[in-house]
Amino acid sequence: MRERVKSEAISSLEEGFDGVLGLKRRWGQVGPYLFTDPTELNEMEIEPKYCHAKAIRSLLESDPGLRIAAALRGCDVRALRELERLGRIDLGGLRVIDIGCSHEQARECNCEKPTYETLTCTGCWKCIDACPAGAIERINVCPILVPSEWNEKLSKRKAIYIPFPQAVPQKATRDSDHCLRTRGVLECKGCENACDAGAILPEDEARIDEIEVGTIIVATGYDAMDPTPLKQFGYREYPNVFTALEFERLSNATGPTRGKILIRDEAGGFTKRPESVAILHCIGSRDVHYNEHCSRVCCMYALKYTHLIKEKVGHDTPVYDFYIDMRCFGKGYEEFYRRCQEEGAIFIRGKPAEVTDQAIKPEEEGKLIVIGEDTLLGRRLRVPVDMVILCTAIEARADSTDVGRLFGVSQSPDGFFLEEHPKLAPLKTATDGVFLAGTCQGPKDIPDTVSHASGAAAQALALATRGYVEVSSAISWIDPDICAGCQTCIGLCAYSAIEFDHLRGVSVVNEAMCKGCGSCSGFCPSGAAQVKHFKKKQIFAELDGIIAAIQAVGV
Amino acid sequence: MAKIAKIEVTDSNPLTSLKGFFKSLLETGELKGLMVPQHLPMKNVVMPTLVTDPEKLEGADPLAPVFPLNAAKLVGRLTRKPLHGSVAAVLRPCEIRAFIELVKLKQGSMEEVVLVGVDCPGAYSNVNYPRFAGENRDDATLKFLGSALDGGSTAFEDFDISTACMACEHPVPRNADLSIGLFGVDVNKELIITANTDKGEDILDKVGLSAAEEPGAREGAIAALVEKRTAYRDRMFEETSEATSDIEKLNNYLASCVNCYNCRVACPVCYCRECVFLTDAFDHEPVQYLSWAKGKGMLKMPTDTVFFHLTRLVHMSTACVGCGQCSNACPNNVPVVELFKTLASYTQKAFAYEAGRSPEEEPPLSVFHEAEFPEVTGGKH
Amino acid sequence: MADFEPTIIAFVCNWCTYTAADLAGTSRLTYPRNVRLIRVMCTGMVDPQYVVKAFLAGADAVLVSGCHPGDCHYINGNFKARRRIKLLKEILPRFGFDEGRLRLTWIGASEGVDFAHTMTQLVDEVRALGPNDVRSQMVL
Repeated sequence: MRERVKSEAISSLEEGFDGVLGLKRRWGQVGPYLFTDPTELNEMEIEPKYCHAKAIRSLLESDPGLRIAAALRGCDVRALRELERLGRIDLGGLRVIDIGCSHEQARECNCEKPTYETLTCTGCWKCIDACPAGAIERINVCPILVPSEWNEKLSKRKAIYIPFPQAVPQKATRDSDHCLRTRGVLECKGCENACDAGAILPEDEARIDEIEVGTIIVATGYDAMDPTPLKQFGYREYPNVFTALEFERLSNATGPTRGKILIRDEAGGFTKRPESVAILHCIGSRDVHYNEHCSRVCCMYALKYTHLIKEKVGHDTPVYDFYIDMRCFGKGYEEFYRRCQEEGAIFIRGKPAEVTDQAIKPEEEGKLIVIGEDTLLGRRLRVPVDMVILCTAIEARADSTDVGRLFGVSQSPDGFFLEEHPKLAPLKTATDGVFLAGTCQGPKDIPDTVSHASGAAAQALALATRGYVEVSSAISWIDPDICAGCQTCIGLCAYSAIEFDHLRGVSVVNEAMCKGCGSCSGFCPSGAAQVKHFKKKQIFAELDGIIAAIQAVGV
Repeated sequence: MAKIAKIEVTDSNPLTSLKGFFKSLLETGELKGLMVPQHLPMKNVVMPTLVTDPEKLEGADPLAPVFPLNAAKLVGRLTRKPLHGSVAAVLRPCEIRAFIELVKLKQGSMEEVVLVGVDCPGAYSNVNYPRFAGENRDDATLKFLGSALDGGSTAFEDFDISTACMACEHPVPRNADLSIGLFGVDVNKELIITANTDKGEDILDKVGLSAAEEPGAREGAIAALVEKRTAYRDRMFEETSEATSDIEKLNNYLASCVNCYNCRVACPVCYCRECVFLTDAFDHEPVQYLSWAKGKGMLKMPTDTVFFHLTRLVHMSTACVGCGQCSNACPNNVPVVELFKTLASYTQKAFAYEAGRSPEEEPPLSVFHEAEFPEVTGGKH
Repeated sequence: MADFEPTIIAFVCNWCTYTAADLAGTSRLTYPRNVRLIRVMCTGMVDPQYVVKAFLAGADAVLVSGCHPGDCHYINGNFKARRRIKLLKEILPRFGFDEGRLRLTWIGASEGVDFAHTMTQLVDEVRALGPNDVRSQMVL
């Protein structure tokens, strides 16, 4: 650090700057000093932190034509920029030689905006000013801002980032779709220079590793339904209509608002406290137009939100839960429902028809109005609220068909992966060694997902520890006395399980590779290739038996 | 461009010249043997012979209007494993086409064989040929050629060449390495030899015949013959379709079948070592027959005759070259080739396939594509 | 012919149509009892001989039903089956077996409703076609 600051100071003097403002130890004390002689720069200090803003102001105020360089920290620069904004000084003649604050220094100052050592950063702070406080991790010097997937795009992240606070392993990853360096836009080395561990490899690229495994657990999860097409609920049209996951991030301590439940102001920033909230259940679930199935978790998380709003925003905040049926089926769930009722949440049975901002009464002005019906009272309702939360459906992932084909797993009508048997084999699939865990099989809450996944892991492990697999007895066999060696079966076999024995001139089934599909037996004209348990004689007997029975007793 | 040469014919006897040509083929030293039909010394029967001594060709007669069996299977037996040298086989067009089908089914190989094809004016059935030829050998053949090649009649007394030959639209062996041309050629003066492949050209060069051009009359003569035969064939298709248009008629059509399986033995493309109908799948339990009989109170024995023919249609109609050996072999005069050739025309058309056309074409049931035949599932993919 | 009850033999794939039939059952869906299922591991193992045999034994219709294209448990068995059924559809109708008597369908494991519907429809269609001539003929 010191070396770089010094070399930049020397080159500034060489370029004709009138002087370099820095720190120099004199009479046992470190203080500001305007270096004009390059040889003196050996004595330049960069520690401790010292505020140069005043010194620069007085220098520039006394001689506006002065061209100086200054070794400055981020806070100095911010102070100078503020002074410039107030019209007190003109920074046109100032060159900033930036001093990266150490983590210790930043902590000591309780500083949210330290500057970092970077070759390209000009210290303008635009990138950080654009960022809601705290969203930019301190180690992060990356100038790129991307909507954060983890925070449901409610905040921004950098192009190098730790995906989420609980990520395992908790390590940074570079988003090569956005990084200036990997995109070849700019030779940015901000992150590389900042990383003391040298962990950022300049040429590292995403790669696909092939791993050979014996069992596979498919745990690909679900997609939260995008409620935009349900125009009546105003998602995207009204800024304070949120999906359940968006609300989850808003109320989360690591979220964009650091856990404060806030709504958007006119400028789009999260600054306002909601005075009332409506939670709409079953958005896209239990709806013949979208998903017929129940998403299973919404009732309970809606209750959680209800509780959180009461707790965080205030117990006097009205929370309206619009539900079709409350399904609080788990251990302790019904009790929690009761608690929320006791906390004063308002439960209205009836799915709202519309969310609008068209006020017809004075108290509705500036509010979102949820229009619905309380089907228990048989009364139509208009409920003005500040915030609407849509409990969107859990859907099968959009790429389920492709993923399913990859693993040989079919889908149920709702698009989720199909288990081998709904009761007897809810973890298994039609493909041996492929298991399902979690919501890829159907909507589940956390306890159910953990149980499901534990079971899948145990079953996968049971196969793995055994060390061998049992192959089906229903596999093909080619009678060498009958086979004419035409090898058509070899071309038809999808598993390359048939080889040609040149010595005997016959095709031979590799029993370890044969899956018993019978593509060979379906072709083999002589019947040399037949699948055990599905032999011609057996099928013919089955046919004759069926026909004889029908002839004997009628249909 | 195919290379064409001619064999001079002296004494108006093309057979003598052909024997000379076969002899010179063997004498090139390029061939380990030559398979050619010959009149056998003991009886006037024409059978394929494998000749290694150029002097043993006196009885060679690939033009005799008879082929007691389709020699494709024999060429397959000769070539299905390495010979470490080449042989030549003199074959009829239908035999070559059947051989190409067998090669696709790995029952033979094109690697070490020079296929010599001969224009085919047709052949009598095994039963009728002795009646036509009597004890005459070459003379009978020359008499037949004289009449047949002029576009004249092939009928003799109360019979004619076999139905399969009458309905054969492939009288010219276009996919042979060397083809010997008779149609549109004055066979009393010369025979035309065309090398259709590099292999054919190489050996033709070694024989050292003088180059020739295709006689002007040849294409016309072939076209006229094909037209006549196609017309016969289409009539046969119509009559056969009508005669088998429902299961009752098919029953009648096949009524005299006794499950001898001669048709499948004679069939050049029925390549199974053992027919499925001879395997244990058809080794019915005795009580099974009674159970079947109970169904209608009576059971025709032997059973599985219609089933056999329908199965054989499924198995080999796409490979059928229409050579007619099935009918030739049938002891009870079931018109087998009519049925098979008729159905083959449908099944081969359905898969845009033609049996024996090219070794590159894959048998329809040995391949598949992801998107095809949407009509089979009612238009749904 | 009003009381004609067709016999339909269905060769169904273990992984999809058979499972769909099972689902139809556990879902208490009804479909005509005229359909008799023969479970096979894949439509790719249905030898065309089975279809021929079924017809000759007196079935009024034969259904082969497997996984949707791309969903085959054995990668591509259903495509091989399609070619074989195509071949049969070229042959059998020439001998008077109405093309409607031989059917290839794709019914996925979760399509219990579709299975029941297809069976109902098939039985209705075959009932309209009347009995297979083999029933009144002695053929074997």
